[in-house]
Order: sequence, then C-alpha cells, then structure tokens
Amino acid sequence: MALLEVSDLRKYFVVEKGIVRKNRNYVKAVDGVSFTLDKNQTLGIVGESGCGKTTLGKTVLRLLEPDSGVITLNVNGRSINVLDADEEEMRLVRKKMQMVFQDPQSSLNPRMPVKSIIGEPLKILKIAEDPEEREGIVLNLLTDVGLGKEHMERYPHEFSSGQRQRIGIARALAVGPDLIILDEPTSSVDVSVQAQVLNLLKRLQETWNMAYLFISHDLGVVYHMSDRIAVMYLGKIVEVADADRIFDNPLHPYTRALLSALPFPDPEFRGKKKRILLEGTVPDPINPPPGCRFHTRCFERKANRPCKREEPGMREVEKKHLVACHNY
Amino acid sequence: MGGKLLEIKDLVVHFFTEDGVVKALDGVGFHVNSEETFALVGETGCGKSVTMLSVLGLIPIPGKVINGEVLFYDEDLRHELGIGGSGPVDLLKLSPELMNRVRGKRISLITQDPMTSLNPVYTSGNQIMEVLTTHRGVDRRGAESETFRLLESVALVPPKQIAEKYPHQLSGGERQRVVASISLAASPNLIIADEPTTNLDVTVQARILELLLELKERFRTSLIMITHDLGIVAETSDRVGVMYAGSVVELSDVFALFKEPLHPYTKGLLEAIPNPRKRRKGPLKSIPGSVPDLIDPPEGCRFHPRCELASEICREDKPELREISTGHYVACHHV
Amino acid sequence: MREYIVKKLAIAVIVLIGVYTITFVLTFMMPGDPARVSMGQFGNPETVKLIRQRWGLDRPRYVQYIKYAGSFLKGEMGMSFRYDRPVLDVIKYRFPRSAYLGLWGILFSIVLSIPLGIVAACKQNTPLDNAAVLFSQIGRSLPSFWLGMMLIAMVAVGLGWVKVVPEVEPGRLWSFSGFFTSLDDYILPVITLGTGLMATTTRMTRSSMLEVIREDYITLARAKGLPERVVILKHALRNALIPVVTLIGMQFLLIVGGVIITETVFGINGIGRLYVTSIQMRDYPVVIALTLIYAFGVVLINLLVDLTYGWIDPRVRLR
Repeated sequence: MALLEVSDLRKYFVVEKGIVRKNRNYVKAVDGVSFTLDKNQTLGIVGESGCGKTTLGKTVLRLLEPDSGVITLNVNGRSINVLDADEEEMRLVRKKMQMVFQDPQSSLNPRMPVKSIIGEPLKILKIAEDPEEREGIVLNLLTDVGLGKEHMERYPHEFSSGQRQRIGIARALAVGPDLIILDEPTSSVDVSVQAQVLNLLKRLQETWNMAYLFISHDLGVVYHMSDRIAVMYLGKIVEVADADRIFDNPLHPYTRALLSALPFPDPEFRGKKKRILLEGTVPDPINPPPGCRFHTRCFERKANRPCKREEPGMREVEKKHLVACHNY
Repeated sequence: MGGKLLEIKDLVVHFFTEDGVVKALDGVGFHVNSEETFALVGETGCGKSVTMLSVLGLIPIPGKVINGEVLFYDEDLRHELGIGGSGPVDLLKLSPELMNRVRGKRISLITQDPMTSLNPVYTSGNQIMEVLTTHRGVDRRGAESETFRLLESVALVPPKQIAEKYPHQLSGGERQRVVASISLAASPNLIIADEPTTNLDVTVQARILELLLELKERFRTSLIMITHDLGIVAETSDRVGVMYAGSVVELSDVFALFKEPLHPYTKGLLEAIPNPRKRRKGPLKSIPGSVPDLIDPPEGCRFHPRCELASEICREDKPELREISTGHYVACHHV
Repeated sequence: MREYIVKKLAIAVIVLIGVYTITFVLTFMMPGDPARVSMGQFGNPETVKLIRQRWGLDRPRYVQYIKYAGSFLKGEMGMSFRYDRPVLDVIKYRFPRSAYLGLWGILFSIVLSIPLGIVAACKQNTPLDNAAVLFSQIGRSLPSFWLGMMLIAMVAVGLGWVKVVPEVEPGRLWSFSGFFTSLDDYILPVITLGTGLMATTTRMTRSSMLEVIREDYITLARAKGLPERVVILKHALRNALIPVVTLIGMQFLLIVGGVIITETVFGINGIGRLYVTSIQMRDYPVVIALTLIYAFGVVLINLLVDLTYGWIDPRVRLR
C-alpha cells in the first residue's frame, strides 16, 4: 500500500478584478493532480515558477484547504482520508507528515530560541509534555542535523542560512514523521552548503525511514534526491517516471525543453547538445489555453492531433512511465 | 580574440561599517581580453559583485577602494576624455565627470534581478533612450528609431509597443531583454553581466544566455559573466576566475579549469553540484563549514579553515597566484 | 477613470450623511443648553424659553434633524445661534483666512522640506545631513504655540519687522497678487504652522530617498553614466515621493488642529477659532456645518492623493 495517495487534487485562488463590477477569476494553481508515493521513497516535483508546485505541497499538508480531490495517508496500516479527518486523525496526520520550508529566514520565529522552535511541535502534538524530556529529544535532534548543545538557547538570526535550514529540518523531524514535504529546501543556500544539506537529508532518510516529497526548480538537485520525478506545468503534472528514465528518455516536449535548458557543468559538452528554446512565456493561469496547456509553446505540435481542443490524459507509455501528451 | 581590454591589479576594497571594517576585496587581480567572455564565479559574499562595482566606480557607501588599479586598454579613450599621456587609463583615477563618460559608454552593466533593475515609473523606451541621448548625442527622434532597432536586436517585437510599456507590464525574461538592450545602447567595449539569470526560470535563462552570447559576437564586445552557477560558466565562458572570500584563487581557461581544477576550493565546488549526466547518486562532496566573516577573516590563506590540505604555512602566509601551466594560475601553497 | 471618481463621490455622499447624523446626535448629547449659555448664568428663565422657541430647540429632535438637513441642502446651513446670521455668512467671512494659512503652511513645508530631504539623503552622514536630521528633530518637538509666541516676541515686537496680527482683508487673500503679497502679513503664522509639518516631511523624504537610492534601478541608472543630477531627480525622486504624497495628504487633514492653535496665538479671526468658540457657546448649527465641511475636505483630499499616486506611479494607474 502506498504511503500517500493523492488523486485529482485541485486548488484555485480567487482573484477579483475591476473596481465597480467585481469579476471573479480563478487562478488554477493546482488543477487535477494525482500521484502516489511509497514508503521510504522520494518523489521529486519539478517545474518552473508559477507551475503550482509549492501550492501542491502546502495543499497536501492542508496548510491550504484544497477545493477538491482526495488525499489518503497510510498511517501504520490505517488509511486516513486527510481531507475528511476529524481532530484526532488530523493530529495523527500532522505527526506523520511534516514540511520544511523554502526560506528558513522567515519560517522560523525570530523571537524563539532554537530549543523552543524544535520543541514546540512536541508540545502541541502531546509527544513530550515534560520539559526535561523534551529538552533531551531536542538535543538528540540537533545532534542528528549536525548542530550541538551550544545552539539550544540561540535565536535564528545568530545562524547562517545553512544552519537555519538544519533547524527547520530538525523541527520537522521532531514528531517522527513518515513523510516530509521539502519545498525548495536549498534554494537559499550556496552550492557548497547545498551539498551539506542534501547529504544530510539523504542520511536522515535512511536512518529515519522517511519518504520525501521533494519540490524544487533545480533539475540537478531533484535528480540527485529522487527515485521518481513528476514534472509540472501550469497546475498539472505532465510526466512522471523514475528519475533515470526522465533523464534518459524524456517524452513530454516540455520535459525535453526543460532538460535541454539545464546548463551543464562541463565545457566539453558545449554546442554538442541540441538546445530546445521555448517560444513565448508561460500562459496566464487564470486563462489556461484550451486543450493541452502546453500547446501554445509546443515545438512538436502535429496537425493531425487534437492538442488545441482536447486535454491529454495521463497514459502509461512504458512501465511506470506516465505522460500526458497526444503524441504518445 | 584580441589583447587585454581590462586589467585589475591588486584591488583592495574595505567597507567601513558600524560593526567593523569588512575586508571585502583582498588584492583581486585578473585581466579580460577584448571580445572574450570571462566568468567570475564564486559564492555569496566572495566579492565578485564588489569587484565589478569597483570597475564601474559604483561601490556603495560605506565602501572604499584602499589600493589597486583598474586599467582600461583602449587607445581612443585618452583622446575621447581629453586627457594626455599614453598607455592604459586607470579608471580609479578618473574624476566622477569623466567616469560618467566611461560608464554606459565603454563599460555597461546588466544587473542581477530583472524584476528590480528597471525603474517602475518610466516606460522601457524612456529608459533605453536616455542612454542614447546621454552618450551618443542624438536628438529625440533619432533616439527613438535607434531604441526600436535595439529592441528588435534583443528580439522584443513589435518594438514600438514594447517601448511604450512600463516594466510591470513585461515578463521577467522581457525585462532582462530590455536591460540587455540598455547595456548595448552606446556600443560599449565591455558588458558586465551580474548574475543576469539568477531569478529567471531555466527555460528563460537558456534563452537569455543564448541572446547575450549572440549579442556579444554581433557587437564585438567583451563580456564579464558574474555567476555562482558552474553550469553557466561551462556553457558560456572562455576564461574563468574563481573567487573566494575576497581573492581570486584560481584563474584559467575554461576547459582546463573543468578538466583539471587545481585549487581545493574549485575542486570542492565542482564536486558539490549534483550532476545528472554522471548518474551518481551517492553523497555529494561538500565543503565543511561556511564562508568566513570578512570583518575578521582567517589569517594566511582565507580558505584554510575549510581546507583538508591546510598546513602550517597556510595559516600564516597568504598564497599568491602562480602560473602552473600556460594561462592557468592558482593561489595555493599545496599545488 | 471617470467611473472611479463618480464612485468616490457617491461614497462621499454616504459619508457626509453619516457624519451629519453622528455629529447631530453627539452635539445634542453635549451637556448645556445653548439658550441658557447665551443668556449667561443668571438669565431670565422666560427669556431662555423664548430663545429656545426662536431657535427651534423646543421641537422634537427628529424635526430638528430634518430641518437642518433641509437647510444644508438649500446651501445656507441654518442660522447661527450666536451671530443670528446664516451659518454660511459666518463661515464665508472666516474661511479664506484659515484656508490661506493652512495652504501656505503646507506649501512652505513642501517647498523647503523636499529639497532638504533630498540633499540630506544624497549626503548621508555628512555634517549637512546631520544638521537636517537635527533640524527635523527640533522642529518636531517645538510646540507650535510656543514657537508662535517666540516669533511674535522676537520678530514682530522685538525687531518690529512685521505686524503681530495680520490685517489683510479676507477677500484680497485669494486674489492672484494678494495670494503672494499677503504673505508679508502672514509670514509668522505660516512659519509657526509650517515648521512642524516641514520637520516630518523632511524626515520622510530623507528616509524614503535613502531607501530608493539602494534600489537596483538606481545602480543601473548610474551604470548608464547618467549625471548624478539626473539619477537623483529623474530616477530616485519620483519613486521616493510615493510615501511623501501620502504624508502630505494626511497633513492636509491633520492641519486643522495646528490652524486652531496658530489662529489663537496670532489672533486671526478664522474658522479654527470659530470652531472652538462655537463648541463652547453651543452654537450647534455652526459646529455641524464645520464638521461637515471638514468631512467633505477629507473625501476630496483622499481623492486627490489617489489621483496623484496614479500620476506618479504607473503601477497604480487606473485603466
């Protein structure tokens, strides 16, 4: 049984335009997304800004209330429908599903010492109500993420961005989750520090037996971290496959464009790969194009296919390789 | 590719802040040839942007150039500015008025974030045109047609409509194209691009990089590409300077640098980036610790607290750049 | 655009009705009977009763409410109890002076503070900047009644350069030439009123400029090789003015208090003083009329501020 199953998830944001007569429009940030995530696995979600990947992460955790869809979390053999969960079930969900945010600067309360930041979920979710016990757990967590006792009483501003991200990770770990949603966890740190954080995340995944939903715009990082990768475009997943398959045999034209645009750190390859340059810009998510959402920028649109009219569904083209494109 | 165009010698820049003196640049030196792409690579706070702002004479308060020379090799410049003598011009010695005639005209800048680098209250056309009227002495009508031509050259069409738009009406990629056209307006010898694609998506980034290289060829300028992304370095540059904590630690031809990095920091950086082509998913090599505080930087080699090769001499003596093979320089006691 | 203004004015009507109602209720809740106040402590009860009848105070409140509303719509704004003349006449005589004082107070502040703020920001941490900051601190902490009296004592009485009490006819103030020449008479009140405003505006302009100067587009403007004058006046100033405009808009509204004090100190017979004495004398029609005028001013100035935003900043320009 999969750890997390998401099907047909939708999250629309209302925007109002006009001064006198209000026109209600909807930004379809997440528009019918389905995926499954197994225990101890990492699913990478990759896409460019505005594709809805961050909203997806927050919606899965119910930090944002979805408009429709089903989210099922499997907790110790028991399936919990996250969107219908009662208070007790929701507490269980919060214990098993945690999030690490993009910007450690703004996601840690500046007026709380590290001890309280990490200890808070333990208190709220009634995991360790005795302060001394809590302190012991916090110290263990800090050691796990490569910090020490001397950091317990310090405040977030006294740390570098890499260290702050470690604190964010320790906070997520505190409740012993089965799944952590990582939203661009390394986008605010430098390359040399990024490697430290990524290595830490991998090590923790093994020792704590966790699954990750790894959200990032950086294909290289996503490849490094993920077992499977889902590519998002304009609120929809357009392709899902094992990480190696995505790189060896990308099928969706968007995935191919994305991969070809990735700067490759070896000058010997310069000019040897064909670069696909996409025309135009990402369409307005308020009025996504009819049919396939990518058809306005697609370089492989074929006249005999219904790209402009019909929205392609996800099809399993190879084993465990799904793509939403009329060409397959 | 021609001879030297710009040479920076032993540049020292300090920032006099309330917390203390930040020793931002500690003897930076390298040169850029005409019509080449030179990449200056390093992490946040290594001084790559400060170096380029010193070239332009735009170090913000409370920064000061303590020592060094920024030499511009161009026979016409002395004549154009009406200063006598011969040889390269030290830009740091020019008066603010004369420097204004170099900035924008001979050396131009492409700033980092296209979202904030255009003035929100003027149309894009207005912001291009003012360069033309300032440096090329053209009248309004001439400036207008030239503006349209520039917009076309960065593939913004139809130019007349783009020129009338305000920055907030343009996408990130379009704004960066407008900034690129501003940098080209007075046909400079050198364009400095400071992280020109950092805040753009990969697909947009690919197009902007392509455009910059194409423009560089077409307008026969030199390009200094400041970046933290080794992928961009590999794909765009001819020569590379690697900066760490205020100094250039390695200077080389791009192929030699990626094939045979010499400095431990360069090696560390190259192995720290996940590389999908290598199909390697094991632990990445990471550089322990973090970038030092430049108010109180480490003695000797500034990299030594994070370096696995560090020995006694590294703690005491700052290594100078030495030429190891032709054109490949490194500042390390252990190479 | 037109749609926007029409909508704002429609809201204004609702606001005015609300303000009228609230003021009416509050005024009549004030302790003290106007008729009695006007006759003094030992007034004859019979006379007081007659006066109440004459002023309509014996009628039910709702009748009075409607009657006043009617007279406002007719434009005469009722009869002043105290002056026994239409309120409009009473105000018409005093309003030009107060408006003159208020407008010049703000003009004085704008003309001096914005350049001072710009210069201070451009020369940050130099003696010039420090002086501007110090001046701004002092200006904000000087009570205006004290400043006014000092100016009278030193400049008017001591040096004898100007008159203590301005004597220009209200009608002349707003003629084209009178607007400038009358300043001779009004200079001390204008300084008294303007100094506090100027201090705040200087501070705001300086900090706003300092913020804008650090923006990337200013770096880019400098990198274009534009002369510093163009960088500051064309690129920085317009952006820096956005918060300053908000402040100045607010000053137009808050200035009423300053006008009252200044008029009192200089013995100017304006609406500030009228307002205070009308409340003291329970001259309800005048109080209600002045409050409504003020409320209308608020709406109008907010509209002007919004329009100015649109002019300065294309991002808020209305389509």
